[in-house]
Amino acid sequence: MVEIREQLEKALNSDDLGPLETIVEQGDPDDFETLRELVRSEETSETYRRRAMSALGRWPDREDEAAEAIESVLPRLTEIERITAMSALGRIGTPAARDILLRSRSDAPDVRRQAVNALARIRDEAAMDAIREMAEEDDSEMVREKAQELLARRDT
Amino acid sequence: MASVRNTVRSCLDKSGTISLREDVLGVYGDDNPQDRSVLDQLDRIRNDPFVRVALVTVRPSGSTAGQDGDLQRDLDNTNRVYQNECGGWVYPVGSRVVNTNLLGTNVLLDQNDCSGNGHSVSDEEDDLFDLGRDMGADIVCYFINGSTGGAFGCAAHPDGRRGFWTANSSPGRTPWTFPHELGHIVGDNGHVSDTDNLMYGGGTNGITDPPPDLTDPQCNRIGGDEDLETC
Repeated sequence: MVEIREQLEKALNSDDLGPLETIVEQGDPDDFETLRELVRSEETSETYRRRAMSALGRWPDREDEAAEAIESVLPRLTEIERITAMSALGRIGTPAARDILLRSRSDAPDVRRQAVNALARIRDEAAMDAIREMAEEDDSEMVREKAQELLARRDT
Repeated sequence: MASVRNTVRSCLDKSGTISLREDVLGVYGDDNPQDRSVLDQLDRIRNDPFVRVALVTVRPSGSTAGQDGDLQRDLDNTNRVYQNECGGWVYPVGSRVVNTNLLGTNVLLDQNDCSGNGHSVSDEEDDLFDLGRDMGADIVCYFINGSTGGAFGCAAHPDGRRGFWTANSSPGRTPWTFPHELGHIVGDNGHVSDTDNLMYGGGTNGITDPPPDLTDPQCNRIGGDEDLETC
């Protein structure tokens, strides 16, 4: 069982993510380690794991470690957790995070749709190439439309 | 009945056919087993300050599911707290289901942050908060399935489009999530550490001794809100 200090636990239980965003702003290295452990532990609830990934995705100056922690659990995540993972990787925004997004094409259209959102946040050449490809070739109409919409927004 | 119609028309701006259930009592979902007196409600409409809220349930394209299943519970709980603690009440102007893949088939919002200050609006939040703006209330509540970050609600919103969302199927949404998020909007109330208070910041599932309280300063802020009106 991962030990969690009181303020972080309250933030993880809060209805909205405001308190967790405050934890990220405070930047306590111990909290970062706890969040990383929560992402990795098989005992972590879906809600805590999603919130922990979301917080890691916003954590400044620890991007590679955050991306690595998320990638390490990707194969065993539920669909809704994978959606959160895609979102967090998009916020991390580094080339390493982008490469994880490009490697982890999912069978689930909603996960690919979120990957499009994440790649659009990164917006470098490789990310935009992937979005263009998904806009043309993805099996899901919903994903193609999302990719086309984001391309159109970026062009305006 | 003429008195009812006149009150609803003059105080709530409702015209045409008046539904006692929806337009007067503000009941849009399953009728919770509680006392609903038309006379008391008319008295409330005529005398007590209220805020209008529009209710929008977002479902994926093709879904035949109706409005959020706990919508009426949330409305009743909100009125229970706001009436008992502050003497004000919430008037739901209507409930609408919108079928769209705007947030994917999982109906999860990709939100940049949930910050009251310096909030950054994502493309999806921008699209979501356009919905329901023609329903007759400045404040719109969106019932979605949650956010990609795993929140159960959030009151951060685009400038000029007041509103909040709550998760309609997430395990963490509690009977107090709706009134809590509304409390961030109406009166701009922040989190507090008192576990008996509606605005407790450690999660409404941690609220003790429900129904939760609101303090006088919180009620004063609610009373001074720009969207609070009286007949």
